[in-house]
Amino acid sequence: MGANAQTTVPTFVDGQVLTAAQQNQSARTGVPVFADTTARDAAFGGAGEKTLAEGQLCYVENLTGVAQIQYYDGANWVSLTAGGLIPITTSSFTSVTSVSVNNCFTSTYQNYFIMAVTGDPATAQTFTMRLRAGGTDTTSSNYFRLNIGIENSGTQRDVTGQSTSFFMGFVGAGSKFAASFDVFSPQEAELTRIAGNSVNNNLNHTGVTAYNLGGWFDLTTQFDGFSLLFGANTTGVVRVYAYANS
Amino acid sequence: MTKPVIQIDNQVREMTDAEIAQLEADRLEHAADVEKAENLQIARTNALAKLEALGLTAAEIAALVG
Repeated sequence: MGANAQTTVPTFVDGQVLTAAQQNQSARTGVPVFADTTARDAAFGGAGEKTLAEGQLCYVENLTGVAQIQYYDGANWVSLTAGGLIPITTSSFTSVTSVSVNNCFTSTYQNYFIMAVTGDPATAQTFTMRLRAGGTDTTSSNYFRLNIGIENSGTQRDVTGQSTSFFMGFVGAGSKFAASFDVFSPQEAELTRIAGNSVNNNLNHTGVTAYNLGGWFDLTTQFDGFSLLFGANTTGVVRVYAYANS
Repeated sequence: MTKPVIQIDNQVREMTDAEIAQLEADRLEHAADVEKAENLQIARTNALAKLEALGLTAAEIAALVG
């Protein structure tokens, strides 16, 4: 039985004199609310504080931008979710050339899902994505790409071969861009691979192009973030989720 | 001249000179990607026209190249 395990859920009666132990037990059964993980971690184990133990619940208002209910499993805080997709972070951006998200890939989860939607880039651009480690984009030519693209006219525009980033799409000025893709094993000493899709108006804005996105980074670097590179001022939002392993 | 602006997490700032140099290098690489994709499409169109000139039907060409 854990240090915080209860043997009773008491009910008190009028006029009853409560001991400190009884009042502590009552105080400790609620779900505490914390502003962030720093406040959460500081709230347990100190003088006059409850000892953190398996089964503890909490509500964190801002866990990298997202509110989460968590439980402590005896070693780590684990987020409670209704399904297998765990919100990690959301980043909204306005008129920027690139957006970078740090510390979204951790050893807690193996695989991730990224969804990006943007408005018009200021000029026609190639959108790409780079992996980051320690707050820095990795710009070496270790990104291998296999992207099959087709325009609604039937014109095929494939992008393949080695590069310094993953390809996301040829995006025309005045075009909306949307992409969703998986990132496999970014935090493991393993090849990081991506697979997904994107859609947008083509470079000349004469039609719609859909891309099947694929690629891998051919070294076993452990990444903790990524950048979406637009090449020109662009506004949008990028959402990162983790897959819970089944 | 205004420098390009980037966002890292919630921080928005101008690009450093090194980042601008990388942006310029990226643009050259992207231009090469566009040219390569267009050349690939031109070659494909030419190849299909030659197959048609040889007398293959559209169905036969599709069976051959997808």
